[in-house]
Formats: sequence, structure tokens, C-alpha cells
Amino acid sequence: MRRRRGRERSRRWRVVLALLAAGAVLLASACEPGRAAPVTVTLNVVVPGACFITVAAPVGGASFTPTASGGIASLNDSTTSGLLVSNLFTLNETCDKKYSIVIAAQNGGTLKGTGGNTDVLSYQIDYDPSGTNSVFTPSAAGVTAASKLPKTGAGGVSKQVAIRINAAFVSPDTYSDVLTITQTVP
Amino acid sequence: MRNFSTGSALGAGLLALGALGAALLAAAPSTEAAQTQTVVINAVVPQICSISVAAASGAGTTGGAGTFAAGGGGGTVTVTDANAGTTSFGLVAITEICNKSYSVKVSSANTGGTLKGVTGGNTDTLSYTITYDPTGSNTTVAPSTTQSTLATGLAKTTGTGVTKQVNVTVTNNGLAQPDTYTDTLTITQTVP
Repeated sequence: MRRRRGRERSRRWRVVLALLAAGAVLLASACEPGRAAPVTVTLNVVVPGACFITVAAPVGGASFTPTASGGIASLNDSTTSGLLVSNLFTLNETCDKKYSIVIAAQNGGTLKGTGGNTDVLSYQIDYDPSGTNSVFTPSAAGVTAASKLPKTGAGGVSKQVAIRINAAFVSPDTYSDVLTITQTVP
Repeated sequence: MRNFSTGSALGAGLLALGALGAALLAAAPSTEAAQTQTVVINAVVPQICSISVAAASGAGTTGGAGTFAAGGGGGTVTVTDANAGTTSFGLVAITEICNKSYSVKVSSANTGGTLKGVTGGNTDTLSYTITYDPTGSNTTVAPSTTQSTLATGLAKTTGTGVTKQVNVTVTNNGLAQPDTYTDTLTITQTVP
């Protein structure tokens, strides 16, 4: 019994001595006369804005073929008068801060035929018909479809973009324009 | 005495690292840049062409307009020809719609512009011609079983189309027995 207590006391003393030695080493290095004054390092973790848009097939309406940079939305127009309204594509918007959507059109709101066909179809875009419902004639310079849209969830928000074609009795042909949809973050 | 030259070197190193970091950050593509997608819109407009017939007016004829009864994808026109000789009647008004250039042709069930009696055993006939668009193309043909061209290269119309008169001119030599004399015309719009 007395021998076990002796061994225990001896072990405790070894631990104390080891701690004292380590402390002395640390103290020596900190206070080494040749070292510079301590420096302060500030760690900044920058979280960049994560904002992007993608396009996909609409909910009903045009047939949609995805491409590397967007897609091709095709629809049949056998309406000769009045208004032809059709969903063009689904726009998925993701952003961790407020953002805006701008839509520009190469032909400035005109669908043009091919070859020497001079017939045209005028049209408007309806951004988010069931929400923002922003109807406008797109221009080459771009029109703001919606601004200061709130930060989205990680999965983004999906909106329909529809076209409203002023139907006319035009020659059989494929009438085209190219839209550029831009998400801008202030 | 402290040696501050080591401290200065360390500070200079940190500054250099900071500058390098800033340069790298500036060179990296900004995630705040505008994001774009491009969508091509293709609106495909098909060929939209059609013709229809309705009652004609009697304008410019010697016998007035026939009686028109719509049906069977066209209609039936009845005229009364009590005159010996040649009499013209309004046959139909044809409305043509087409969003590109087109032609109009006609053929008949009987050969060579002939109206045949409906009563069995009656072999008498009346000869006739039709005149398409008398105030315009003014084309006269004796319809036959093979197609005759009434007009070709007609211009694209408006959405409501254009309406033209078709007259029929019947020659009755006065010897045909009383009967109803008939033929069936097929008017075709062709689009190249």
C-alpha cells in the first residue's frame, strides 16, 4: 500500500516537471531578444455573390431545345389575326442578394422571316405572367423586366416567360429573333 | 536590446503577400458579373390557303345570277335558260385566301364544256363556258375533265382573301328538249 502511494506521487512529480519544462521553452522563445514584436493576423473569409440564371422548357407552350448558352424556343403560328400568347421558356433565377433581370432582343421586338421575305411579326414579352407580369416590347438595348428582386433560396425561383405575338397574315416562313436575358447584381 | 530589423523584414513580407493576394483577387473572374442566357425564338408560320364559293351577283350578265344552294363542299347553282342563243349568268363568287402566290384551276365531270340532260334517254346537250374574274383576269374556258388554268401566279392575299366573280355562258340552240342540264365543276387552288 505504501509502495503504491510512492509510485503515484513519483508519477505526479514527473508530470509537473514536464509541464514546467515546456513552459520554460515557450517562455524562452517568446522572449527571445532577437525576435520581432508579435504581429496580428486578421483572417477574412470572403463569401462571393452566387448569382446565376438558367433557361429550360416552359410549362406548356413552345417546344424548347436547350443549347450551351440557353435554348431555342419554337412555336407554330397559324393565327392570322388577334394575339397569339404562348409560354416561351422557364427562367430559373438564383441569387444570394437582390438582383434584376434585363431582356434584350436582337431585332427589337420584331420576328423576321428568312431570305427576301419582308413580312414581320411584332411581339411583346411577358415576364412572369403569374407574378410580376411585366409586359414590354423588348429592345436591342434591353428592357428591365424586374428589378430589386429579393434574394432567392439555394434552389432559385422559376418563372415563365411568355411571348405575345400580334398575329398577321404573313408568308409561310420561320420568323425569328434572339433574346438575351441578363441577371444583374448591383 | 531588440533587433527590429527582423521585424521589419517580416512586415515587408506580409505586405508583399497582401499585395499578391489583392492582385490575384482582382484577376479572378468576379462572381458578381452579370449572368446571361440566350434564347432564339422561332415562330413557324405554315401555308394558309383556302377557297370557298358563295352566291354570285348578276352584275355584267345577260341572264342574272343563278340560284345558289350551299352544300357538298361547294354548292349547286341553278339557272333557267328560256332563251335561244347565248346567255350569261352569275355562277358563283369565289373567295380565295392564301399567304403566298397561288393558281386557280378548273375541271368538270363532262368533257368539253357540256351540260347533259338528267332525264334518261335524253341525249341532247348544251354547251357552255365559264369566265373567271370578268373584271380582272377575265379568263374564259370550256371546262373539261382535264384541268384548265383560270389564273396563275396570283399574289398573296390579305387574311380575309379576295372575292372574284365566275360567270357561266350557256349556248342553247333552241332544239334541246325540256330537261335539267347539268355538269359538275371542280375548282382547285394550287400552291407551288
